[in-house]
Amino acid sequence: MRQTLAIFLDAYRELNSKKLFWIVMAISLAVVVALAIPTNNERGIEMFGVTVELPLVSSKEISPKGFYAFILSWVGVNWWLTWGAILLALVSTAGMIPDMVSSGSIELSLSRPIGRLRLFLTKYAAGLLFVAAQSAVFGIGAWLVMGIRGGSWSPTPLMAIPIATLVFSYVFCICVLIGMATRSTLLALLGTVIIWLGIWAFTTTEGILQSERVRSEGEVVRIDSQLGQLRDTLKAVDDKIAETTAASEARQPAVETLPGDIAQSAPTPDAATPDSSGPADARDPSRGPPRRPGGTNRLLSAGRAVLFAAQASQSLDGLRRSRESLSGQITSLETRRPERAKSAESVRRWHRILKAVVTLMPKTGETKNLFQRTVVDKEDQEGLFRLLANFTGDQDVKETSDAINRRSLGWVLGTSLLFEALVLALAAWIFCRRDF
Amino acid sequence: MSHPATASAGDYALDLTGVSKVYSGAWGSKKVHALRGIDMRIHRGGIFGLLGPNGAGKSTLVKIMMTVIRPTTCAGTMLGRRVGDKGALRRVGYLPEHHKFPEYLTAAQVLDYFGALADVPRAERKKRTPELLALVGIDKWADHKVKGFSKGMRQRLGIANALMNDPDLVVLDEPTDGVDPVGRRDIRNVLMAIRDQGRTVLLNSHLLSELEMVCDRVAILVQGKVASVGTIDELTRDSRRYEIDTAGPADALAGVANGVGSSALKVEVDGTLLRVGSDDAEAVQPLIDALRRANVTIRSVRPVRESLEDLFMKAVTDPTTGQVLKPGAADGKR
Repeated sequence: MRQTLAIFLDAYRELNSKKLFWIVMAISLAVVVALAIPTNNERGIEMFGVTVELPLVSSKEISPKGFYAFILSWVGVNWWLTWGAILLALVSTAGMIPDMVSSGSIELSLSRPIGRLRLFLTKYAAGLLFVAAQSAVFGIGAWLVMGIRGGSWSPTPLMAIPIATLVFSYVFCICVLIGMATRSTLLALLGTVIIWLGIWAFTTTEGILQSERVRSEGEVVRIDSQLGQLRDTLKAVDDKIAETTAASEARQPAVETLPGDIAQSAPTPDAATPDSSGPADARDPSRGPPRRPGGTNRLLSAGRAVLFAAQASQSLDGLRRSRESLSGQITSLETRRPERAKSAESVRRWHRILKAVVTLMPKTGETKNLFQRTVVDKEDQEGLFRLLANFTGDQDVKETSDAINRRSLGWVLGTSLLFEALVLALAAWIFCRRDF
Repeated sequence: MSHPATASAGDYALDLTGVSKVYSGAWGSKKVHALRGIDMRIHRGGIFGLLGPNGAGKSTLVKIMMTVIRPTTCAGTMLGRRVGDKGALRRVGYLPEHHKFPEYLTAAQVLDYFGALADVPRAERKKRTPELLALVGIDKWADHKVKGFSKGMRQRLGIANALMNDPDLVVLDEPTDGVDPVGRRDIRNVLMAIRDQGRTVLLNSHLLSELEMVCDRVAILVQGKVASVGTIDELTRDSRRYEIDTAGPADALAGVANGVGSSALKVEVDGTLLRVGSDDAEAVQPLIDALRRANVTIRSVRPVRESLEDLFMKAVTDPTTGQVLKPGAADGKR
């Protein structure tokens, strides 16, 4: 224990001697303070007494607590703590292992009564101090901001400390391995940044494919649903035609209304307007998956409108025209379905391959998203999805986010920590076997 | 070795048998036999000097003892425990060659940090730090960062650091490297003070004159093997002789040398100098009497022996070719 404490104390002294450590510390504090300045009111965001009209982030849509949770996680954690601060931390700590194993220095440590593995692991853990200290400043600051400005004294913002340290550890283990293998600070830093960017590229592509998979699978489901409805309507029209024909032949008056189920499924004139159906559905989460404007919805709505017109006219000719129109729409959807299903299958296949590759990699993005998952309440999440959908133009953002969030904590952390353990084991093996 | 056969393992600070180290050739290069089976025993107490040219394996041997390098084969003990045992390392102080202390630490922090790594309790570290800094003469620099230290001050700090855990065995690799003459004398005094405290010092150095002044025993390593080992007296015994410096004349000297010289007492004439192949003062007296009888003026009569440098040069010279052996031991054969 004495030796372990000595190594940690030495790591602190080393950090304390570096200007960069204190600069990053000051930036972390400044980020928290800066994020505490804006607030959301009924009209939008207020800053220094000036209100910027942004209804989507108004207090009607997102609570003040949710507003701070969002900006702290999105700007504070996602951008500063797990990108900027980690990059600067890498610059500061990349030399730790090459310095330790350099000639003239390593002899002083290895000649002491401490095992090589213990020395290595303690030194590695001490290297995480940099980010742990930075994120402690940020986490405590975020907790104060959420309490004072957001009115919530939940300790969840303190999760920034383990989460940021964990994300840094995924990257730092690579730096340690390269530093151990090459004994070069420059190579360790460059190699780590390149691999980190590679991991980011893979995980981001996997996220995009995940989003595309959700969208394309949703499209097929929507086509199936619309086909079902159109076929039901067609059957009702066929029945009506038969009934009308029979009534005509019997010189009996036609039935005034369509059967109840058809009448209910028939659209209102407003819904027949093509562009209005999508956003209306998207705004109401209780009505199932949001519908994209245009496409199959437009066809369905048009079909319903034709049926409605036919029903109103009660003419046999009108019903036959409606039937032709419905048949055309069904044929069109049936033609499009295999094409969409094929596209969805292709996306699914590539996503599966990429997900398998990404499984072997550390999940820096998903680990940092754990902060948002922890800090932002479910009711505020809905408001945030509306904001993000509006901001990014991606109407499936909620489904994509749900699909990613369905990945268990065990999978996200387990696979990442397994990667870290393997990389560290290799570095430790080199350290324990090498002659210095 | 010239130790009593009755000595037990506990009498030795270091008792090594068959220490070898082969560096595997990487990328198709040749294997390097750095050590080819070193047998060495160092009694407790005293200063033991380890000599050898560059690449002889001195530092490799020391690093094996200190677990910095893993040996290919190694049997024996250090302070009564197997080499590499953590318990033994607790009682060993080490000053590596070209050591680098963290620049951000002060001298006192260096001793505190490495003392803690050596498992020295905090109270003891606090007590010993000023004492050791005073011993090596840098107590006024205790709170100054190592970054501003000269080479000599760093060496002094290194010696203090090697003594931090109150060791029974102190291993110093080139302790006077880069130190000025005054600093060397101070370090020499520190070494003798350490020896007087009953500790064992293993000194690895190129400075033969320094070693000659302080070492009780020496070993000369050449190409990964021990070429010779013993006290300086033992190693120079065969070379001891008397030299008589005269005013001549040379022809008279030759006559005297032929008259007194015999198979038991070899006398060589070199100009006006006579070399007598004996370290026995009694044996020289008849020669002095004969010189006086021949009216030869005697300027001086002095006992002489080979210096450590002479011994060293003899050890590193190939007797067949007369050439100095190449440094290193990379021939791929044993």
